[in-house]
Order: sequence, then structure tokens, then C-alpha cells
Amino acid sequence: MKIVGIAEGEDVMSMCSLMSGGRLFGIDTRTIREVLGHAQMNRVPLAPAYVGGVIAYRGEVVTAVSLRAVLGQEKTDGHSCVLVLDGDENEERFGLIVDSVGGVVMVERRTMSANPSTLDEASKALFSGAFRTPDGLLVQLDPERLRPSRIAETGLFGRAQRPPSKSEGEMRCGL
Amino acid sequence: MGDVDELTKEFLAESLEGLDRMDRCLTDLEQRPHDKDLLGEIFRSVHTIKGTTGFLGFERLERLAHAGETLLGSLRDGRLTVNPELVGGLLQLLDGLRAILRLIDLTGKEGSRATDDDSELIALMEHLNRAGDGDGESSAQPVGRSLVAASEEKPVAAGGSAVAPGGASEKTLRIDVEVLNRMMNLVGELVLTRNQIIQSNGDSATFPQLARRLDSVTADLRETVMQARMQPVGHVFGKFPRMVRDLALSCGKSVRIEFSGQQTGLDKSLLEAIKDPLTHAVRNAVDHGIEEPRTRALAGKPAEGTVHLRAYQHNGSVVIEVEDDGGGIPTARVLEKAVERGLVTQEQAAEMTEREAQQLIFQPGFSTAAKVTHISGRGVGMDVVVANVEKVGGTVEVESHEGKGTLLRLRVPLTLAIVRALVVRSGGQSFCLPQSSLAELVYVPWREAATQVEWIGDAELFRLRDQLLPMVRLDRMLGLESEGTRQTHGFYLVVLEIDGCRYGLVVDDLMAPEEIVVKPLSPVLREIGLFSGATMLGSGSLAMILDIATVGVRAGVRSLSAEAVMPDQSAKAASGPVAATSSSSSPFLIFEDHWSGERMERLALPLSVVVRIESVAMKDVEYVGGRPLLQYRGELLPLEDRGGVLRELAGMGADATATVLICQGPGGAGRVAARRMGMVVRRVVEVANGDLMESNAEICAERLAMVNERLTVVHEAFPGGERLRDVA
Repeated sequence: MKIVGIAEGEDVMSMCSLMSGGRLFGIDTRTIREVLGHAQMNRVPLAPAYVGGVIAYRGEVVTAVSLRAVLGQEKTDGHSCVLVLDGDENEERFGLIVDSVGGVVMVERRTMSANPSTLDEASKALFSGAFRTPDGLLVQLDPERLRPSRIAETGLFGRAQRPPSKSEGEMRCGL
Repeated sequence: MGDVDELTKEFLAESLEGLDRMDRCLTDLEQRPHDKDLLGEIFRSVHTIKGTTGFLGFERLERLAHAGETLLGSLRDGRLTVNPELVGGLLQLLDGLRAILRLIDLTGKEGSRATDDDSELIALMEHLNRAGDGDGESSAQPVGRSLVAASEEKPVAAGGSAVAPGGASEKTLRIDVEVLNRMMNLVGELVLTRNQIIQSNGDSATFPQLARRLDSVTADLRETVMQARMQPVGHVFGKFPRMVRDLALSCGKSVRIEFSGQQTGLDKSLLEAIKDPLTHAVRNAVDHGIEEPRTRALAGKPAEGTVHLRAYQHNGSVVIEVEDDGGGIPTARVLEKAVERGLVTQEQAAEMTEREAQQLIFQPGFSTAAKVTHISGRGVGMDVVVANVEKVGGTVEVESHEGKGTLLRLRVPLTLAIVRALVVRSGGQSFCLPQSSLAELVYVPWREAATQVEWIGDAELFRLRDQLLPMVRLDRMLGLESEGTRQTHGFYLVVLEIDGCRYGLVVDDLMAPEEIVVKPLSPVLREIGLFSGATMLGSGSLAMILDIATVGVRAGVRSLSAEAVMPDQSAKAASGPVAATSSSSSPFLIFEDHWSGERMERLALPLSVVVRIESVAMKDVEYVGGRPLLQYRGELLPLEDRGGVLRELAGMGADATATVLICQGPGGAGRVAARRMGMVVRRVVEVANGDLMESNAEICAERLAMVNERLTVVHEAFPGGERLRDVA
């Protein structure tokens, strides 16, 4: 299933909504290369906690980041869904493991608000802001900041699992 | 090359290729001055460059190319004749053009600073051209002289630029359209097969046939892609005639270069990797290998030296040989210098065979001093050559006969991407072990595990044919949960050998050996260090490829004592009259013999130096010049017999056996240390942990160790202390 941006304009952008640990996030559809659905995940021994494993994608071995792990949410054995994200030309391709993928949501750019200053450092490093949609907030994930090498650089997501952060609050969004 | 557009990039790649071709043509032209086709080709190349530069707006390049074209035009029309000065001038022109192209590649501009002035070169072109117009001998003379002067500086520059990475050439590849068409056809077929599989809806009747077809299409496709990556070795050889010509000229020698097997294909990335080492080797052959013409004449050789480059395939690897008929490596001088530089001791040097001595040129210390290189004949950074070749999984050998010449053999794998590997399972996951470092496989049933596994501190050792092998449990190392099946099923021991260190990797199960395609890992995972890549297995799952060397190092196989720390023992030892040198203890092999007197003494060797314990029949011990020698697995080992065991046994018939410890050679590092020896002992007692003592001449001249609370003499050639102190 390839998600293609629909009727994007100057002030409207399309986001792919996804769930992780009961929370709703959005990610710019243009950065998504493919949504793989449930893919066979191969664990890597001794890998940092945020690495969920590696997957085979188009003849490449792609490192997948577990969104639950970076958000400090509990591990789950339940259903998971893998997205393959494409970055800039010279950057590595990487995967993102989420609980489920919703669909494409069109949001208006002007409804975007920056991260609140009270947000904890780790979340600030991952979110690029939130969109005020009629049904609630849609937190935008920045794929550049989810890149495994970037996560390693920040040093905020080491091997230790962090307790789930409360500052975000529960958010819902009707699709 | 940030701001260089596509068109310019293409022009650069094409022009540089053209210039390389011209280099070859010009050196050929010197041999065959009347070849019209050659001249035509050179003329066309320069003309093409000139035409394109005008179009792209590179004026400086155009002016220079124009001057060259005029000169070549006269040459083609027969108004000039080919002579060394002319060829030298034209080669200088090529260097000039190349320099500008490099500048464009780097900066996007052709340069306009004062130093970027070509008027001298252009004047030279005009001068050479005028020489043909008949103003005769008088003017040709000074030009000839200035050229010699110029070409004396040139080789350095030419050599330097040859070593510098070629920018665009590493990233782009020219492929025959034929090959590309074949690939496209195969991809078409692949799509067709896929459609058929989808349409068959899992129909079992047609499935075997489709699977077979898919198999053949993929095999063909793989073959074609590999082929496309293959480049003839000749591409690298191409620049050598020019280099050899310049170099020979500058050292006043006459050298001819010959090639064979230029069509041998090698993977593009590997070709790039061996380019520098090979250049180095050829330069060495001319610079140091080939003698001066007079010396050659005295030795009864033709004045002109020959460097022969040979490439061929052998056993799944490509062999490239650089052979010269020069003076060879003067073994005596090499040894002298090696001793002087402290690489080997006088005694070691005396025992070395010619071949072993020649291997010394690969030692890092050997490259730095100019004096050494000048006399030894070889060795300008030979260690760098080895390092570069080994980086891509290749090897370097040297064969030399004094007075006859030297042969340097580079052996590189055909391709990097596909390797043979053994798939093993540990902690419920699959891992790949490259077959190249696999020595043997041992199955240890649960019943026998208890008797064959020995413990020293926390370190497990496996008794394999009387040799103690450190054991590394893969699941424990990787933090995986062990499956617990070992309790009833035993385990497999994969004996691995790399860089002279040997250990047994404990795994749960062995799977089939497979040809695996190596895929790189992302930087985050590379940082773990234990995996060199990943691969997709036949079953569709991914498996990590273990980096055998790092696994060994992590487990402390080389720094043997890291695991075997017994703090309580070292504490006791420290309270004695002689203080222990380090807080960590290490395993020793304890044996009994009387070395210093009639009394039986307890003696020890660090376990790390003992490779095997052998029972040797007296009939197998041979004597050369009074020294006992043992032929052992194709190696000739000197035997040391301080206790006089051999003398005692000599009277007891040919079948009497002596216990011989096969030891890693003492002292040195790297290649020299790989030399082994045998030590004849009376009785092996045990393996135990102990602490090395500070040497104290007042108590005892020998090195002592505290083992099981008893003083033990450590053989002075193997104190094992250096490594111990490293750890502490």
C-alpha cells in the first residue's frame, strides 16, 4: 500500500496518522516510502533499546526504530506495523515500528503550534509541533529526528527505558 | 565537487578517460613512431577536449588544448617526427590538461590565479612545433635540455596524482549497452514469472515449473549484474607504462613494462581498492628492484630491465603479480637492518630462513627510514600495501631471489558481495560465520562435556586433542537467553582461527553452509562492533554476520587473562616476599624438569603461548648441525631441550616418545611472532592460574610466578608479562 499525497497546496499538507501506545501521531506522507504492514522483524542482540530490529526491504537491510521504545512506552507483543521512511538523498533509509497506521489526514498549516516549553527534552527532540484539528491535537513526528543515527546523537534514548511521560496528556483524533 | 553540473561531470569523466588512453598511446608511439592510427587517436582525443571545452566555456583549457592540437596536427601531417623530447612534451601537456580538469572537478572553475598559468607550456608546444618548420638543430637542443630537467621533477607529481583518489571515477561505471539490455530482458522475464505465479493462485501443478524458472532467471540476473560490476584489470594497468617511463627516466634506468591477462575481470570496488597498492608495488619495482644499467651489465643481464604485470584467476580469487628482473631483496641487509631497528633479536635473525627474512619487509617499522629502503631494495610502505589489500580480504606474498628479481603476489577475492558462510543458531537466532576463518567443528555430547570442559577461574577451556582451547559462549556474549537444550543435547563447538588467535565458539545448533550476500548495516548497528553485516537467508529471515576477530577480542581471547581474574589469589601472592606485578592472574601450563640442576623443578609457560602438547617419537626428531628439529604440519620447528630429555631418550630406541610443547615464538609482534618452536619437557603437570612476580635479582635471576601458592619458574623467553601488564 503506497500512500500518495492528495491535493496538497500551500497551506494544506497531508499527514499519515499512526498510533503508538494509545496515542495519536502524524507524519508527513511525503517522507513515507512504503507502509509494510506487519513485517518480519529480526532482533539484533546488543542493539540500543530504541532499535526494534532489522527488516529486509528491497534488497537492503533496514534498521527499524521502535516508536514505543523512544516514547518510553511499554513493550508489546501485540500487532505492529512497519513504515519505511525515506530521508534526504544521502541519508540511510530506516523503518519505524508503530502499533497501527490510520490513514491520510489533511491538515492546515496555520493550525500548527510549536512544542510547548514545558515538554520534556526527549519529546522535544522527536516532535516538531502539533496541529489543532477539530477533533483534537495531532502531534507531528519529525522523520529526520527519528533517524537512528540522530537518536544516537541526542543521547536521550540510551539503553535504559524511560518511564512514560505524562506531560503529553491523552489525545484523540477522529479519522 | 558540489557545484559541478551533470554535463560538466560527464565531460570530466570522459576527458580524464581520454587522457589516460592518450598516456598509453604516447608511450606506444615512442616504440612505434610511424603508427598513423595511434597518432590519429591521440589527435582525436585532444580535439574532442578542445571542442567540448569551448562549448562549456573553459577558456584556459581550450587555449592549452589548442596549442597541443596544433602540435599534434603537424605531427600527423608528417612535418614533425616522433622523438623522446616531443613525446615528453606531449606528456607534459596531458599533465597540464589533467591538472586543470582536476581543478574543475574540485572547484567548478578552471582557476585564474597567477600560478595557474599555462603560457610556459603553450610556449613549449609552439617551440616544439617550430622545430619541425626547419629552424633546425640549434633550437632543438636547449628544448631537449629543459625537457629533461622538467621530466625529472615530473615523476613525483605524476606519482602523486596517480595515488590521489580519482574523484568521479570511483562512483561512476561505464557499462556496455549490450549488458544493460540483457539485464533489462531478464528483469522483463522476472516480471513475467511473477505474473504467472500470481495468476497460478497457488496451483500446485504448475508451481514446481514456475519455481524452476524463477530460479534460473534470478541466477542469470545475478550473473549479469556481477558481470557488469566486473572491470578488466587492464583499466588499472593502463596508467603504468607512463609511470614506469617517467620513473625510469628520473632514476637513469631503462625499464620496459609488460602485461598479461589484462582482460581478467575484477569487481569495480575491489579494483579501486588495489589500485594504490599496485601502483606502489610497480613504483618499488622500478625504483628499487631494477638496477642501474651498468650494474645490470656487470651481472650479465640486458641493460633494459623488465617489470611484468600478470593477472589471472585462481581458485575463486584474482591473482595479480608484479615481477621484476632486478636485484632481488638482499636478505643479509634486511636482517641487519631489522636487528638494528629492534624488530627481531640477533638470535632470531640467525635462525631465519631466506623466506622468513623477506617477509620482514612487510613490518611497519621497516618503511620509515629512507636508509633502510635504499639498501633493502624494497619496503617503502610495504606495510601499507599489505594493510590495503587485507582490508578487502586479500593477501600479499613476496618471493625473491637475490640477483634474479622479485615477485610480489597480490591475491584478492573475486567479489566482495558474496561469501561462503556457515549458519549457526544460538539463543533462538541465526548467525553467519564466514567460512574463511573456520577451522573445524566439534559436537560435544552432554555426557562428555563434563570431562572435556575445564575451568580456570571463570574461563572455560575445551580440551581438544590435548590442546586447550578458550571457549566463548555466543549466547552469553550477545546477552541472549540460552535455550537450555544443552542440558540434554550437548552443544557444538565451532573452532575459529583468525589473526593467529584461536578459540571455540559455543553454539546451540549448526545449519547448512550457505552462499550469503553481504549487506551493510546502519551506523548505529555497526557501532555494536560484533557484526560485520547482515544477510538474508534462504528461509527469508535475516541473520547477522559475526565479526570473528572482534568476538574473540571481546571475549578476551587474545588478552588471555581478562576473564580469569582470581582476586583472592593475587592478594595472597602480594603478601609474599616478592610482590606481584599485576592484580590479575593468568593461566600457566605447569611442567616438571630439571633445568638448572639435578633437582626436579616446577616450571611454567603462559598458556597463551602453548599451541599444542604433542607426543613425539624419537625417530621423528632430526638433527641439523647438532640442533634438534621437528617436522610438524609442514613447518620446521626448532626444538629446545634444556633438561636434556632428548639425550636420555636417544639411548632408548626409535619408538621412545618425548613430550613436546608446541609454542608460539617468543618476542616480536605481528608476523614474526607467528614463528613457532617446540619445547621438550619431562612431564606436564597441570594448567593453573598464577601471578607473575616482579623480577628480583637478589632472590632469583629467573622470572617467577606464584601458581597455586607455589613458586614456579617461568621460562624467560615467554614471560607473558607484557600482555599481562597491558591488561592490568
